[in-house]
Amino acid sequence: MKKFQIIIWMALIHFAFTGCVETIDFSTDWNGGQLVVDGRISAGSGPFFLSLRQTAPIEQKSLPVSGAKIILEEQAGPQYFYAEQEEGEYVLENKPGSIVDLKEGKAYSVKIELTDGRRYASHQEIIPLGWAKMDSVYFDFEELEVLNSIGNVIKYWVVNVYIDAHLLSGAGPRPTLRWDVEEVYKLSETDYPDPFGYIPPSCYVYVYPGSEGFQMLDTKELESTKIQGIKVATQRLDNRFDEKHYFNVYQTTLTEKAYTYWSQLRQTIFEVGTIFDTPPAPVEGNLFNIDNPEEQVLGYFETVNVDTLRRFILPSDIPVRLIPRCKFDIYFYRTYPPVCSDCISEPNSTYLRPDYF
Amino acid sequence: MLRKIRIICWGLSIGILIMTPVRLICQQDSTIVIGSPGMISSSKRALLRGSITNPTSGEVIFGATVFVKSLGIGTVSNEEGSYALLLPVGTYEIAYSSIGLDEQVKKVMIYTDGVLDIGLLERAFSLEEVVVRHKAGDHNVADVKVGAVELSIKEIGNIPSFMGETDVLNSLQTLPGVSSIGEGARGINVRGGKIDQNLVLFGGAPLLNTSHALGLFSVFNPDVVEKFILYKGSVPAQFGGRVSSVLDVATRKGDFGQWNFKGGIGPVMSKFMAEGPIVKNKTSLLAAGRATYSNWLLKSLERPEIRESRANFSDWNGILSHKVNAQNTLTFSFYKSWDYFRYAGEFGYEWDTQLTGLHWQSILNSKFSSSTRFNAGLYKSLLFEPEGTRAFNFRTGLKYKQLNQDFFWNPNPTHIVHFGMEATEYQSLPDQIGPRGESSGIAKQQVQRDKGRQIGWYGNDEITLNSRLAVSVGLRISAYQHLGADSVFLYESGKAILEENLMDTLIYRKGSVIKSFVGLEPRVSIRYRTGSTSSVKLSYNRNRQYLHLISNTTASTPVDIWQGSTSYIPPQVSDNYSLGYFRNFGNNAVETSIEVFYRSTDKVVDYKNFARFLLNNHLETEVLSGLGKAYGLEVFVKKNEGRWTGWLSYTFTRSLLKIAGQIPATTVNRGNWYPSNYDKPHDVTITSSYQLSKSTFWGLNFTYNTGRPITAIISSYEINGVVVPHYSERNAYRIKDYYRLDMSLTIYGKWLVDRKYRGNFTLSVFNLLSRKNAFSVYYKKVDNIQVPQAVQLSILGSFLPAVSYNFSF
Repeated sequence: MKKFQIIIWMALIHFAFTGCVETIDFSTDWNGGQLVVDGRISAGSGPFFLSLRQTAPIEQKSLPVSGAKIILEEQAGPQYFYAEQEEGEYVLENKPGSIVDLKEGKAYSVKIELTDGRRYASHQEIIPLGWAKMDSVYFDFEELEVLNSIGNVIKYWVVNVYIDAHLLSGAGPRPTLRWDVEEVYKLSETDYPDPFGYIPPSCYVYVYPGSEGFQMLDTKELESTKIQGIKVATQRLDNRFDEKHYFNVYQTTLTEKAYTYWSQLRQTIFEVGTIFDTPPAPVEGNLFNIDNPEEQVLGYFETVNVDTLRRFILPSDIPVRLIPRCKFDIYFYRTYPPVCSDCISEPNSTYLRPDYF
Repeated sequence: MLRKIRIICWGLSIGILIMTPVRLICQQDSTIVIGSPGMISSSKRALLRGSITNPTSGEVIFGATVFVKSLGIGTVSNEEGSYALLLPVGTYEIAYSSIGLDEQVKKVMIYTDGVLDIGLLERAFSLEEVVVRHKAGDHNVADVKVGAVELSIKEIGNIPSFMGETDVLNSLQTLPGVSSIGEGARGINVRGGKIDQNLVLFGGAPLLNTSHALGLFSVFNPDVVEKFILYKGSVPAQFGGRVSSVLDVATRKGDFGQWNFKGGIGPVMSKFMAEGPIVKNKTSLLAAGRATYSNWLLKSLERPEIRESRANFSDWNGILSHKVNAQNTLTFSFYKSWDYFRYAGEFGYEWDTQLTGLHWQSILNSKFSSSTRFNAGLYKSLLFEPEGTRAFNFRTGLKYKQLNQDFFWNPNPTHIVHFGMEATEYQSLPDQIGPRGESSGIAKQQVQRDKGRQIGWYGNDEITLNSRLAVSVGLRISAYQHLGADSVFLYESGKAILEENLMDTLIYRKGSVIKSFVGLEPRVSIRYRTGSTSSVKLSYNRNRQYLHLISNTTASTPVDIWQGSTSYIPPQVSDNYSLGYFRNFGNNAVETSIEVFYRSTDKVVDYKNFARFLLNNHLETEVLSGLGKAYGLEVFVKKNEGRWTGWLSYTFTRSLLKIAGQIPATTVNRGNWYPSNYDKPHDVTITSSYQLSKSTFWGLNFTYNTGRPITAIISSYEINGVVVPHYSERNAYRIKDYYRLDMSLTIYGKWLVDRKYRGNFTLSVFNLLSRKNAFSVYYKKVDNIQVPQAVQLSILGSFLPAVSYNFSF
């Protein structure tokens, strides 16, 4: 009987609440093809970009929309024109008599006409004033545990990136903020011994914002004008930290409407975890079809104010010892990954050294 | 206020004095003498009345037989346990009996009207006797109500249950027409209704939260529950305030004769109950409590986020009953439950439910009785983010006070009349947010919420017209007032109720009536016996609901907001139609029924996409009002007798909503009908208990239902480097079907038979097939695929064994 009880208890401990996660297929029929507008402007002369794409089936990249005529209009002011730089990617161009000079506090909207004659416009948005300034970017490190797909606990180290900021005195309505973090790290090819003293090139690899999430804050929630300890990114410590590694933090002041849009977007992407979360839904932006208001137009044309602060980490700063993937080791033969002999093959890399590096 | 209390106290005292008849009863040897020869009335007839109770449990006994052998006449006790018999003056042997209870024969010498209360004890514990029925065998056929199900704790005791704990709500889900969104979802959905569309009464008081541990357990301690009735078709007029169903969970009174103790020990929860007389045969107390200690289990698990999570709950019941005299009983009851749930360092909930009630039952004469209740209820909840600079506490809740006066008139056994009134005052607690911990920078904010008063007058007449036809006709007149102090926003005329159309604010003083609603709620049920073992029943109900649970999540969360009706959130009104055929076989050994139902609901409430409810003082801009319809078919087969007992139920239900606003922002799915979150067309349940030996019972429960609707990704796009999934229309797809098999083995110790101490072990296995049923479906990035993939999370992804031990002495 005692044995039987032990078995029961062991089984109970082992199986109780052993939830599991598995991917499922809904076999959804794709009926997309909706226009997606992704553009932003801020005060100054740019460059300002706008992309036009169409929604794509799941697991495929969205499709570019070429040949559109796009005009940026300042309320009771001048018009500016976008030019197609590459397929579906447009840039606001300086033309004789139309030098781009956008101003804080002014309202702007875009008008888009596609090659098939469909016409779209955005609601007017005002470029917000920069009422919040970042004070510092700082890091801490921690060891995390996760359960992998076969149920084993994996431990690894991460770096957390925090910012402190403050609201400027005399500010008007408290701003709504978004933080995006871009990373740039140096990747040097393996320096094999050679009689000629050849120094292999280094690349600079970009990890663009957005792919790992973004943080948001409505400062009206806060008691004071100080914004402290906002965790804006968490990154796993691996060979990307073999050399100098920059975190560029962009603090974007958004309009109220854009804040709502990005909040909903964030909710749609990152906060659809359980039956206790708000069910997802299509996110509506600030664009519409001029001739057919029923058409669903996705994306947002936003007017922003951006503050930037950056800080780097050196290998000596991190609490875990990494084995550099490209550093030549005279005592141990090993094979190096292909990027160690051709760093430019790393996605989003360039030989061009950023000026702050 | 003090003056008011004094007046009420004086009123009660005078009432008790007036209604207390003189009792002239004495006992000569074994003969009970009522009155004296000098008091004989001219008619030479005397009315004998009294109540029949189970002194062990304190329960009144409905349907007990009172039979005078020498005259060959008799009667049965009514729902209050009361009986009345008009007898010629003389001496008689009167037999009192009820199924499962020991018969008592009293020798009575009766000269005048008098009262004789009887206590019927349970028969000595017998393992052959599995099912104890407290209603007539053909009650399902004979009862005029269609879609009413009554169960006792004894009947559900052998159903396999989660962690071996007998549970009222989980047991109800084995019946046709009752379901839930899924494991871990709060509340029940009845005939395609939302969880707030069920009126849940616990000891006669409305309960605002029914779930522990986010729905894994219900808040009802089985040791306190006497029986529970679910009215899902015809709802008698004495109940009102919800459009879908009524669940009336009756509580027990403490034993007036002796002290009894009950308890249970399980892997995550223990319970204890004590009951007994404070003054023998006069005043009794029942005190019970349950508490969890599940954290040891969570801490022992490998998944880090679960290991860092915490879940606790407890509930406490206290029931103090006092027999003022033979006709009057006062019962004071108190209930409190507490829940705490924290998911790792990410978020948590804490919620409390409290009920306080005072119930005065009075038998005015042999045919007329009164029930007066005063109830006070409170529900408050807390949502928190435990750590970091944005750690916060958000609090919300609702409290109410209610007075209910019900009169029961039973002119003869075939005629039952209820009439009375009910008044409830609701006061929402202010929504409050504040910092949690010293490092939090969150500012304190508060939003005042609404207040309302609901009044209902009702009358319900249930009469058996002849051997075939019985009718129940009722009418409820209900009214609701939205009261000040409150601010009411005004929106641009002719435009949709959106934040951007907000024009002005009207401020109302405290106590002023802002908006009134009134409506009639007719109720009709007809039963026609097509034979001695079969009947056809038909019912129509109109129900009005003034209180809404506002939610913007798939399943209800503890911080969903109770909102009274306002100018912009009008009352929900439903019309319910039911038709059923009932037939029993084998001398009622097998009950069968087939029912169809249809419900249309006007002004049903659903949420707007990305609705924000926290700290929002204009909820009307976040919710949408539309039409709802639910229809379906229910089949039920139940075997009551023999070694094998149990039931099979099948339900086909559709639950659809239609929200067609003025503009796309106030319209869902282009104004077309769409499935509700709890639309699960097919639902099959098999529940059985098999007596393996004298002391061993085997229980089985199998459930299958269609997967619930979900909004799925249909395409994707990129914004500022972020890959954004693009979703379908609301609830356009479904998750995988659900099925689960549970088993249990209950072993009663042979050495305990016929002794006061009784105990049993229950070994149960929940989800024996280790089916990975979806607890939730969500989207996340998997491996290197850019667009989030649909991922199914199964909380009970494997079989879950449990051992529990229950005892009583």
